[in-house]
Amino acid sequence: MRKTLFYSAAAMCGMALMFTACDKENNDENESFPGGKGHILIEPTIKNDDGASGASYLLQVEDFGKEVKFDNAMQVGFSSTISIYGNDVYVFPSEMIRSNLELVRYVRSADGFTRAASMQITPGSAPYTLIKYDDNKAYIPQYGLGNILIVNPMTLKLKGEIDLSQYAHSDQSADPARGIIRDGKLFIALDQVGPTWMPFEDYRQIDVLVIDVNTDAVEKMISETTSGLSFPTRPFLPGMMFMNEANDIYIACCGNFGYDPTYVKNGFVCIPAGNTDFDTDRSWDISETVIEGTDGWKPASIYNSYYMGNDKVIAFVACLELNGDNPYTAHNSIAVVIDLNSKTIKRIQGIPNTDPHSGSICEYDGKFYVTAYGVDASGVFSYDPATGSAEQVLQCNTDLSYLYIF
Amino acid sequence: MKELRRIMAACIMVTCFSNSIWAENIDADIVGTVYDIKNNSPLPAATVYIEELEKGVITDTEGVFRITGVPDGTYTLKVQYLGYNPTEKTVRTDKGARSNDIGLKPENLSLSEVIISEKSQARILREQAMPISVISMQQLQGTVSDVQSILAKTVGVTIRATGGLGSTSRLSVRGLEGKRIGFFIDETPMADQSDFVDLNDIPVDMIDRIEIYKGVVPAKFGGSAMGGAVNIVIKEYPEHYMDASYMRESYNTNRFQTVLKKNDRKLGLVYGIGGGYTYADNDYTMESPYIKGLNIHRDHDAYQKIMVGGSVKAYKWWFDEVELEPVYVNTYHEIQGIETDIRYAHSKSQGYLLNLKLVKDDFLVEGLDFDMSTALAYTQYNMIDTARSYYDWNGQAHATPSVYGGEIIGNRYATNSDNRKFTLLNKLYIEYLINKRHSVIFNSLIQTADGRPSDELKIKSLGKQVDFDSRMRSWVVGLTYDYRSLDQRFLSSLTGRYYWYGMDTQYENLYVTVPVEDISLRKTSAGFSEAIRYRITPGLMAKLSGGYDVRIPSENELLGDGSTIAPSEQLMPERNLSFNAGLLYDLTGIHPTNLQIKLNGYYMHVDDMIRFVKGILGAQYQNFGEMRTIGVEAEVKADVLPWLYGYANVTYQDLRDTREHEAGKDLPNPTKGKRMPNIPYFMANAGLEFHKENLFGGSGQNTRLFADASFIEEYFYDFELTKNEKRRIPRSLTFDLGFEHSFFDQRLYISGKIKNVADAKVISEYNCPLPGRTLGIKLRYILR
Repeated sequence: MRKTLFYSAAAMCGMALMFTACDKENNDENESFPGGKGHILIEPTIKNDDGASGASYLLQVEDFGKEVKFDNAMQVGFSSTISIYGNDVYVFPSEMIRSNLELVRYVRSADGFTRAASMQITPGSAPYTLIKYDDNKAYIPQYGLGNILIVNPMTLKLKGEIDLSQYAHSDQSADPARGIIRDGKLFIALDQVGPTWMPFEDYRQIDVLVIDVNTDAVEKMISETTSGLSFPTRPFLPGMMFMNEANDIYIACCGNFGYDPTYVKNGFVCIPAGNTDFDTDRSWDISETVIEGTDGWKPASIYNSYYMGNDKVIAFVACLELNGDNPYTAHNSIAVVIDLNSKTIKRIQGIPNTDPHSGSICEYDGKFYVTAYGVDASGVFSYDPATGSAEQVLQCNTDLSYLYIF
Repeated sequence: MKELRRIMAACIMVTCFSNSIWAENIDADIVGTVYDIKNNSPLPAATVYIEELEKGVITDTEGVFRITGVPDGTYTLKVQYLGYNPTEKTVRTDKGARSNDIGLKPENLSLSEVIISEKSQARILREQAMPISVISMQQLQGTVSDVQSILAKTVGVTIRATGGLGSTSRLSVRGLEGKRIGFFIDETPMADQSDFVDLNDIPVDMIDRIEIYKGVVPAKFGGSAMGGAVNIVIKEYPEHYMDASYMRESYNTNRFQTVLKKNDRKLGLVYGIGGGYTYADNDYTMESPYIKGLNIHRDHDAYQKIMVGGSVKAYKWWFDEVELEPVYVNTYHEIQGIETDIRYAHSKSQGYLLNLKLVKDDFLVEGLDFDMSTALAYTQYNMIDTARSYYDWNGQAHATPSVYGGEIIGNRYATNSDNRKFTLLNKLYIEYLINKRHSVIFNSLIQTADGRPSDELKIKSLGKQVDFDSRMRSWVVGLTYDYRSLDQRFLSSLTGRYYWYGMDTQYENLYVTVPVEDISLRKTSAGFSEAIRYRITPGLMAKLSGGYDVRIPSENELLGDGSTIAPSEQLMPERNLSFNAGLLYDLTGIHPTNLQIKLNGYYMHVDDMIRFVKGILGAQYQNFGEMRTIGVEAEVKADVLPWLYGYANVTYQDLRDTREHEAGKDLPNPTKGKRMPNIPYFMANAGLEFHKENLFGGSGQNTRLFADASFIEEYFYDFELTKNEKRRIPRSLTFDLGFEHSFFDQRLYISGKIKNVADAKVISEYNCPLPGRTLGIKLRYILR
């Protein structure tokens, strides 16, 4: 009987060893991702059918016209937002699908990315962007918590915090979005959204905080209440708050993203140079302007913008005529050129209608480049303001949530 | 409607046609019951054999047998049942069926022989034409394991769990999972009550066997499943029976279960009452998937379930069986945070179920078997998330996004829901035995669900109502033709099905203030399946099956749950074209090793697969264009030595995206040909069992020692586009050890188990770490 027991035990242990022997180490912390070689940075996003979940990657491409290969892509959170200063690439955690709760600073080169610094993020805090003041100071508005973190942009060490809770309308967070620094003042747009991520129906106005960058104290909140515009800037798109050659600050305002046919106001508000108040005469609700080159469509929302100079803005605007059932997948926005001076909007032909996961804009070598994910064409498209013509320069069969050319 | 009439007309025609065939048949049937002469209890799986005709059958769970197509004459019936003295009886047939009750006298009970008899019954089921795995009572008896743990060791099956006891988990068969895998108790569909009755709620000790169907699901299950089904067959009990057990496991897990049965053979009534109480703290420590180096002690995951059920079964009325079963279920579950430290949110539910089952052979006409069950359920579900602040893992409090509260991250609203639902389910199964070779089966499954969600706090938080009353109706009707060759070597089962469903509700867009939209859907579809089996030699058989199955979305998938799952009214039925081929080499009862080798290969092409996807504003069910699966399963079981049983199985399932384009696009699909994400593709299990009677001396004792290993290869949460994919479910290997010792001729059991002996980190759902090593001990007493 002892023999029987011995053999049984031996057989069981043998089986255990057999399986143990094929155990494999997993190392999720391996950050030696090359991210691809090149000087064109893209963020391909593959959505699930709902459009609100999926996977995103960071990838460098050597040149336009080449095939996009994902082999060396670095996975980031779904539709992770990105801020870039020089070769510093700040990658934020995904808000849509939970990912690691950390903000990472990568230093990129033509050969790839090196992880340089990181900081832990409070769950639910929803930081989307970093606004750099200098090498020692940067601001990170936290949309969810309604405050602004002050950090060292090199080390990402926390230096302080600005509490904005007193400026919130109806809830706990004023939803601080994109900001811009001018004359020692940080101008922070407040989105003031409700539980459905849309502006409160009883609070359709533009709020901006003016913060002294030397003391980090809020000087005042300014509000533009006459135009009926709301939702100033999407927090991760730096081009939605820009300065023209005269240092006038313009803020692109989304309104209800074109989902509500009863409220389509969207456009621009302006804080003139040398001033810390709105000039309401320069506010422009673009929803009343017919887009040239269309069948009488008017913008129902502005999704992204980028200042080209000479009072001209390249932008993506949404049109009610293009809406679908799902706001995350509808190809409802088109590329346009907006003239702030003449108050005209003209469609750029040659760039397909896109869903909201694309629509990134950047400038390189005198041309402007945008991403679009259309029904039958997608990738990167160039726009030459000199000729007014656009052409596809990179084919990629996924959304491109971000584009930057070094 | 025209389609329905056509089908009804076809059914009537088939019935009439069948009657005429029956009328021409001059052969008789020999029917009867085999029972224990000592206590009058029926003996299932006894062999009844006509010596002169070399023809035999096996008794069903009620001890009933029927030998069809016997020519007029006098015959010797030989009846055998292991553990009983064999007997013979001379019978004479004239015309029509004669009842023959045959009593058997027990031999001196031998434990090993009992084990073999249960295997015999399992063997009968394996010989169905459909691919099926059977977990027999022997594998279940006395173990500490719950049903899910047992299923997880079955070839082609995985369990996708998110936490400890009571946590959300999904059963995956061949990569298809969720509600498409039918969950049945005694063939009654339970999938739509899965929020209230869970696989693990069924006490293992009450289970006679678990049948796992893969690919084509037999008609008797009513057509509500696609890709697979799990049927839990509850034991039939002797005249007087009491079974009570208590189990204690790690993390303050306590389970008490009992069942009492009394069989009044004089009145022909069986009374039963049973219930269970389960409580678990689930307070294991896990490593945070979001914050490096942070260990989280789960202290808000308590789970409690109370379940009470009764039954009254009459078997001497006009119906052969009339059974009424009321069930009450009460659940409380705290919600454990992983990303944040949730301290208050929890859910509660109550369910009242009533099931009526009517069974009659030779219903109205001879050869017509009738089986109908009707279930009513009234359920109430409360989700409570009203905390005004939420906590991070540093203990710091933060204000919730809504002033009304709501600490579950991602929600921007508070909730205090009171969702009530009334469901009705009617399953009808009518089989007409035309003669010994042919039979026709009509089956119908009608389901209704009326939902009444209510959540004033959520309306206040969101500023609008987004959950509305709903009404769903569905009907699946099928017709099956079964053919058996005279020598029983060849079986064929051909089924056609028709599906109809309708839904009425309202929809309010979360983003837009526009009038509430009325939703009214009516959809139909059709499907078919064919399964054949051929016995090449007494120990070797081949199976081939294929089908085009449709699964209509459940009301939960269409309408959401009123809290965390958003409605998805546009959801399409999913369709599955499948082919299965299998070989079974089975020496059970033929050779001392009882060797069994099973090899299956299959192909599936699923269109509009319904997937559960988490997004920014909660989760939702969605259709996924199309995918295909090629899979192979292999399994070997044997009594390696008289005292050592071993098994090993391996599964490889290759599920790939086959969409040419994404929905609404002309562009090539960038993930075409890629492995489907978040579905394991390579699994293996192996185990050994040592068993010996009276190992430590004495008498009436039996000892078993178990060792089981389970392996799942690493897989990805997303499509694998780059070698740098970060979101992965790591390779897992777990190793379990257990023992069981019974005393007093299997009346008292003591058993114990160590799960995950090596304390390996195990994750089966992305970012949801599971408990490590757990210990459990169980005491069970049976009075009979």
